[in-house]
Amino acid sequence: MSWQAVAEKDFRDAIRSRLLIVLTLLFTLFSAGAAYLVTEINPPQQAAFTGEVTTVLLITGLVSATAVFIPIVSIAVAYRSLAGERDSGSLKLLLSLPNSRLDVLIGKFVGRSGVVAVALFIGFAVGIVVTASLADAFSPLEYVVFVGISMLFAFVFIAITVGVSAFTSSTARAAYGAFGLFVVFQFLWSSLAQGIAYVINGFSFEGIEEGDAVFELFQVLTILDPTAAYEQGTLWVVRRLDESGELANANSELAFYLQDWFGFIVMALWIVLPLAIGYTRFNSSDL
Amino acid sequence: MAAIELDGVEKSFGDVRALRGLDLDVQDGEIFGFLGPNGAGKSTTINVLLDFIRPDSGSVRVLGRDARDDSVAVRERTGVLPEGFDVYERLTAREHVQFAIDSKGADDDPYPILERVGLADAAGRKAGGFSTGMRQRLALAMALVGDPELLVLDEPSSGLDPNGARELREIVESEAANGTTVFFSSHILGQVEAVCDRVGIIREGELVAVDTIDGLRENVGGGSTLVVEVDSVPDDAAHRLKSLDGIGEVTVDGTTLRITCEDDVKMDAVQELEGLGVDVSDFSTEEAPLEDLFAAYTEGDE
Repeated sequence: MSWQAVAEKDFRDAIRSRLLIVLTLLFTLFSAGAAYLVTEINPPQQAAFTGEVTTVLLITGLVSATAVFIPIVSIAVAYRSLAGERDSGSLKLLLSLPNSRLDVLIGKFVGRSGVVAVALFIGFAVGIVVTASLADAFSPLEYVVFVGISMLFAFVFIAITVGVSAFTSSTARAAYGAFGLFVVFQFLWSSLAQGIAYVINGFSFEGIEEGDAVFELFQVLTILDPTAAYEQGTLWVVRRLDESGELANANSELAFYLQDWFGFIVMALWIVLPLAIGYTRFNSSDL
Repeated sequence: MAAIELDGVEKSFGDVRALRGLDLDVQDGEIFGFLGPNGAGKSTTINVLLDFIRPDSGSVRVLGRDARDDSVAVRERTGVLPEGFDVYERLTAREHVQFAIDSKGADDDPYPILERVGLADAAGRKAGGFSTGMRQRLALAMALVGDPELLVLDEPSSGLDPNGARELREIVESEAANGTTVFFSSHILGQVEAVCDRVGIIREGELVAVDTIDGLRENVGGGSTLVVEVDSVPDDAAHRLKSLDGIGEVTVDGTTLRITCEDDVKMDAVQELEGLGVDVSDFSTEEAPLEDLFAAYTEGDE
């Protein structure tokens, strides 16, 4: 197994290129800025009732920002991972050594994930100081859990981007492809889900009611969006941790795939699936 | 045992048939020069050996293993200097070699290997600033990691100055002396002549000759050049000579005539000149230049 060697080399390269430092700064600015924004300028509505900003409310406010920020950073970090090496020819050096193509793909995924994970961890650790000083009732545990789930979400977009990068031999196409997928997930997915429901229902929205098959399908499609999965997954954990019960889970009687925890399954799928598809193509193509 | 065995290998890129049923055997421990003009299929062949590209049909075995199914096992025992590669700009020469050591699971020390390829002084420098020749040396260093059983070198001397080419030859020879099989490609016969035990010539995706350099010379035949020094060259000398059987080209340079001819008509040519009233002061025979030999194989009729 030489994926470790590939991952280590990739990580070293990222340090050398100052990518790690730049990312860490970005995450620091982001987490501190977003925490400030949520607590001081635009606090969640619940805070207006209770009069205090808790970590849970803070996280609820942060999630919608990280849901956009993390994918963009992850795509920027990973889109060149394989296509770039193929473009330049360094992939030939990599594959002249006894690395299998799977080693290369996994090594790249792990290496890039490591870069983002370190940057995100340090950046949000700085953010934690800001948050602790601003939130009225600060819980480090909830915050750390939030950082962990955000990291998982970063891995999702790194997996998607590495998968796309493995799929094409052109860096430009890898960038367009990954960013296109992000746009689909972020902005078009719910419209697509609605469209599919509309088509299946005989080109009409009439008669779709909660509980019937088309509505269920629509809900399943909705949660299959990795961004939605991230938001739901975060909410699920935060609610569990939130002993005050302000955001009590009211939908425990729903089907399993509509439960918030199902977001984690969806995220795991979005890590495995793009890597598997990218690998299949990468493994069968001529260099 | 054969280190490399290709059997009926076919590969097309779109309409272009890069390999047309290529058969090739390279024996264990030999230095094999793989020659052909650009575009003949040399790199395609090497890429097939390394599983960079997959043949449409035919079998490819390297070190007794299937090049596709056991590619990693093949590359564990093979050192490769690929063609058209790039280095990692931000990593140092030492880090490149260390990466090769890690990938191969070897326990070498990078420094002596860098010393061998003449990069000891540049060990701590980032490869992004390296010249083509230095990049070539670096890739060679990576290839030498782990004492491979087979070295596959694709156009290894490109970008090397004469000194570098000589050092490369010494490395190839010392590796071969330790029992390593060396397979390397070139489009210049002169580069392989000095080191190769055997040479294979590829043309339009097919092997057109496999032999020692001497064997190739014999096969082409009539490949020698007669060099005659005279006092003066009559105007019709070249024309008269060419009309004789077995004489090919005649070139005149001052008072020197260069005549390509079959071995047994050399004396006829000299007598013809003397018959024209020319005083022959000296004559000698040169072996056919290697380029001519190469051209005979690669440029003939379809």
